[in-house]
Amino acid sequence: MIEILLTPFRMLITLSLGLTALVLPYRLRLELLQLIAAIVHLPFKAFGRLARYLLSQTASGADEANPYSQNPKDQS
Amino acid sequence: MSECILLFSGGTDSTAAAAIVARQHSVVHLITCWEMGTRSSPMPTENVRRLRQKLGESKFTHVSLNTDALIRRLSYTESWRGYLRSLLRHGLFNLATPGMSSLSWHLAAIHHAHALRAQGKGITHVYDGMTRELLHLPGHMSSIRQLFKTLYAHHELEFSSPVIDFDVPPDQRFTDRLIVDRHGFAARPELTQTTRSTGRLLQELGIFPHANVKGSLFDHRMQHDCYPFVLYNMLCFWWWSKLMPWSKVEEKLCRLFAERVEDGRQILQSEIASSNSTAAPSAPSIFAAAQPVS
Repeated sequence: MIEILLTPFRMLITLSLGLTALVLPYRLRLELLQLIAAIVHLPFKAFGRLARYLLSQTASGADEANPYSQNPKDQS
Repeated sequence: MSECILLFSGGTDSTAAAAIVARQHSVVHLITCWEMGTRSSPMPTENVRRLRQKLGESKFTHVSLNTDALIRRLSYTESWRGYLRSLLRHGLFNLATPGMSSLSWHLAAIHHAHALRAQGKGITHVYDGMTRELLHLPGHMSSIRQLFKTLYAHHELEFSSPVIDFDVPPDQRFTDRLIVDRHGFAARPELTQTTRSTGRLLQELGIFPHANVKGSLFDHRMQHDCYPFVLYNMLCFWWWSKLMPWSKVEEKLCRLFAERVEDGRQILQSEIASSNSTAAPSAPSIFAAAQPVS
């Protein structure tokens, strides 16, 4: 049921964004794509931050050596 | 042993491809292409360091190539009239931006091969790290890759992916991002149990400490950002696939890319002709000079 309702909505969004992108010059088109990507990835990034925070609050495996320790950047 | 070029993003697949072709060629010239859409992403030097450590310092060269002007040209053609014609002929398929990026990398690779040949290097092969993943992207479709292959053959270059038949790890679920070990690697066993994945190969070679680094902090550091393909994905899954069978979508994309590959062939031809000529070039080259990375 939700899918039936969502389909025309998704199609409308896609068509309007697509038609806009078609008439934009290169740089503006790219900025539009990046803006859409930023909005789409926002919940995933927020979830990743939450995961890292929760992980930092646990001490599980704290005694294991970090396999990336040869690179100081990987010590986190 | 001949030398080769490898299109290198720095991810697991292209790193595995580099490790494989390093056994078949005396020198592997890694090229990383970047464009305006990936300008803020770091150059993928981490896995080059790991490859050199395991397989020899002198085995790999690594340069970056700016393909921005090429992508602009391929996306909008040479003139506004040409773009208008393309709009009428291909409509929304003109927004197959990931394919334009892919084609620009291949054109840059061919141009770079000519530059290396001019230095006396015997370049015979160009590789990439394509697996059978994300097959909705134009650069991953076999019909369009065949067009690329023909373009390479025109320049006496053989094009293939040494990891094409490797297993693709299962998709990570949303919660897999949370259920990770202390170092941020996937903890769900199914994600690492594939028999012959590129990550497994790199782990066996001692280049990676884990068979599935997807989503880990290390993964974010090692790989060059992907080109922006969010709108293309929306068009694929929310527009074209609702209006026509997928085979028709592929056919239409193939028609668009046949024209763009032909455009690319002409760009290369005029570029090579002007580099062979003794007269001063009338316009700046669309191919940016290679910048050594590491």
